[in-house]
Amino acid sequence: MTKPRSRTVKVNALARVEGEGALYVSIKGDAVQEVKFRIFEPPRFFEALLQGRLYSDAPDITARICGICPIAYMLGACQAMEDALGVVLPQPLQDLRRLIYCGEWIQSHVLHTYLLHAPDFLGYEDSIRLSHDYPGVVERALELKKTGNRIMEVVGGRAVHPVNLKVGGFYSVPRRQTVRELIEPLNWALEAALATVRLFAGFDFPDYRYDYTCVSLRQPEEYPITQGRLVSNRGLDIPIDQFTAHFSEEHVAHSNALHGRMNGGEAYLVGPIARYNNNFDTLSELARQSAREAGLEPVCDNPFQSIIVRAVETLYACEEALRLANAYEEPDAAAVEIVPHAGEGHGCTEAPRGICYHRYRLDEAGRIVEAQIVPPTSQNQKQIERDLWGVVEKNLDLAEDKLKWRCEQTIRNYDPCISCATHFLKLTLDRS
Amino acid sequence: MQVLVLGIGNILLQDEGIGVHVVRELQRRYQIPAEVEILDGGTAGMSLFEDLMDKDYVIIVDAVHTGEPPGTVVRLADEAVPVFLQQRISPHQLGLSEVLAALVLADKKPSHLVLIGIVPEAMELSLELTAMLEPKVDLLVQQVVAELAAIGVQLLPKGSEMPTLHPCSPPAEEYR
Repeated sequence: MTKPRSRTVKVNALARVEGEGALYVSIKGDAVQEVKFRIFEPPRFFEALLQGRLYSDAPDITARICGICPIAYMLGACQAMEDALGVVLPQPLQDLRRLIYCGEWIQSHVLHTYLLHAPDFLGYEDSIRLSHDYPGVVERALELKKTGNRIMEVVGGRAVHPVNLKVGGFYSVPRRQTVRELIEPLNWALEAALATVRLFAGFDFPDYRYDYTCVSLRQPEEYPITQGRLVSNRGLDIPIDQFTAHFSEEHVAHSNALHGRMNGGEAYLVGPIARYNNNFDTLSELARQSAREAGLEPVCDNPFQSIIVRAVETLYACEEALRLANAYEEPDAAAVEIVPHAGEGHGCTEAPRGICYHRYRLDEAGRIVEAQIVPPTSQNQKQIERDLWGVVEKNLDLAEDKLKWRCEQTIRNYDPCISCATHFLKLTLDRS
Repeated sequence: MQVLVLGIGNILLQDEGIGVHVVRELQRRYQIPAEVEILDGGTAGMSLFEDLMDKDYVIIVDAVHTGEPPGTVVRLADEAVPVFLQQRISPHQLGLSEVLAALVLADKKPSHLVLIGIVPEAMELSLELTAMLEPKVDLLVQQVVAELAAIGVQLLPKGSEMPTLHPCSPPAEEYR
C-alpha cells in the first residue's frame, strides 16, 4: 500500500560549487516527475567580445571567463589560433604547456576534492570544520594546491590568471634552475597525492551506477591533457575539427547555460571519469596501481567515485610534472613567429572538468570574425540531470534534508564550474 | 607586515571588473614596496584562499550593490566585510564570501580587512568600464593609496625612484 504523496525538493544557491546554480526536483508518489538544474546568471555571450579583435587577444580574454581554469581557456584559444595560422610548436614548448597544465590540474583537483567534495563524504558542512578534526589533512591539501600554484607561477608568471602564455608559445621561458626548483616540492606532492588516493578510497560511496557515454581526448602514448583525438567509449574517434559535426548545444528554458548533447540527442559525460575510462591504459604504472588499490576498476561507473579518479589524476599530474621538470632544458626560442592571415582553426584540451573546445575564423589581418567556445560544464549539464533523476529515484525514502544533501553531492561530483557554463550562442558575423 | 591589495571581478563584464582595473592602475603608477602584494584576483574565487591567508592587512577593491546610485563609493572595515558579502551584495559569483567565511573558520583570517566598493552602473558584456565608472578609477586608486598610508605604507610614484639609485643612498628596503 503506497499512499500518494507529493514532494518538491529545491536547492537554491548551492554552496561549495564555483558560481551559483539551483536545482528543482518534483516527485509524485514514487516517481520522479521533473528534474531541472538551473543556473542563475544572466546570459553571457563571451564570444561577442572577441569579434573584431586580433587573434593574439583571444588567450587573455578567454582566460577571464574562468579564474579556476584559465590555462584551459588560454591553451584552447592558442591551439585554435595556431591551427588557423598553420603553426606547429616545437616539442620543448609543447612540453612546457603540458607542465603548466599539470599545475592547473593539481590546483583545481585539490581545491575541489579536499575543500569542496570530501566534506560531503565525511558529513561535514565544509572543509574548515573538517580541519578541526583532521588538521593534517587540510594542511596537506593546501600544500598540494600550492605545488600546483608554484608550477603556474614558474611557467605562467603568476598563479592567479597567468600572463606568460601566447599564441605561438610563451612571452619568455623559465630558467632551467627555476624549473628544477619544482622537483623537490613535486617529490613531496607525489607522496601526498598517493596518500590522498588512499584517504578517499576509504570513503563510503552511495550505490549508484550509470552506463555513461564517455567523451574525452585520447593520445596513443600519453594520458591526454593538452591535445589528442576526440574519442568515446561507443566507438567515436575523430579529429577535433570534427567536433561540431558530432556535438551540439541546446538551449533549455530553465537554465541560462547551454546543454551539450551528441547529435543523436543523447547526453554524454566529460571530465575525470570520462578521461579515466577512455584512457586507463595510458596512465602511468603508479597511477594505475594506486587506482586498483583504491578499489577502482579500469572503468568507473559510479559518479561518486569521481573523487578518487580526481585523486588518481592528481597523482598522475604530479608524476608528469616531475618528469617534465627533470627533463627541462631552456628552449632556443620562447615562441614561434606568427604571420597573421585568414583561416579557421580548432582547439581542444582537457580542462580539469573535461574537454573545452574552441573554434575561430580569422580574416586576412588575423582579426576574429567568428568564435565558438564549448566549455565542459555545459556539456555535462544534460548528464547531471540524468544522474540527479537516478539518484533521487534511488533515494525516495530519505528525509528531505538528506535527499537535498544527496542531490548537492551528485552535482558536486561534476565539479561544475557554473560561471563558465553560463554561456550562450555562438556568434556569426555577416561582413557583407 | 604583510599587506595584500586585491582587486576582484570579471573584466569581461564592464563595471564588474572595476577592482581589477584599479589594482592594475595602482601597479602602473606606483612603485610597490616588498611588504605589499598587489593581486589581480579576477574570477579566481576559492582559489584565492592562500593569498588571503594570515595577512596583516587586506584591502579588497570590488563592485558592490548597496541600493545606492551607481558610482557611490563605500568603505567597510573588518567585521562588516564578510557579513556584507554574505548578503550577496557583491554582484559576481566568485565565492569571495565563502573564502572569507572559510578564513574565519580556519582561524586564518587577515588581521585587518578593508573593502573599498563602488556601485556599478552596468555589467554588460564589454571590456570597457562605463562612462560613469571610468573616471572613478583614479578616485579608488587614491583611496587605496590613502588606506596604505594610514597603516604606514607610503607609495612612491614611478619615476621618483632616482634618489634610491644614488650610491650614497641606503638600500631600497631601509629607505622605506
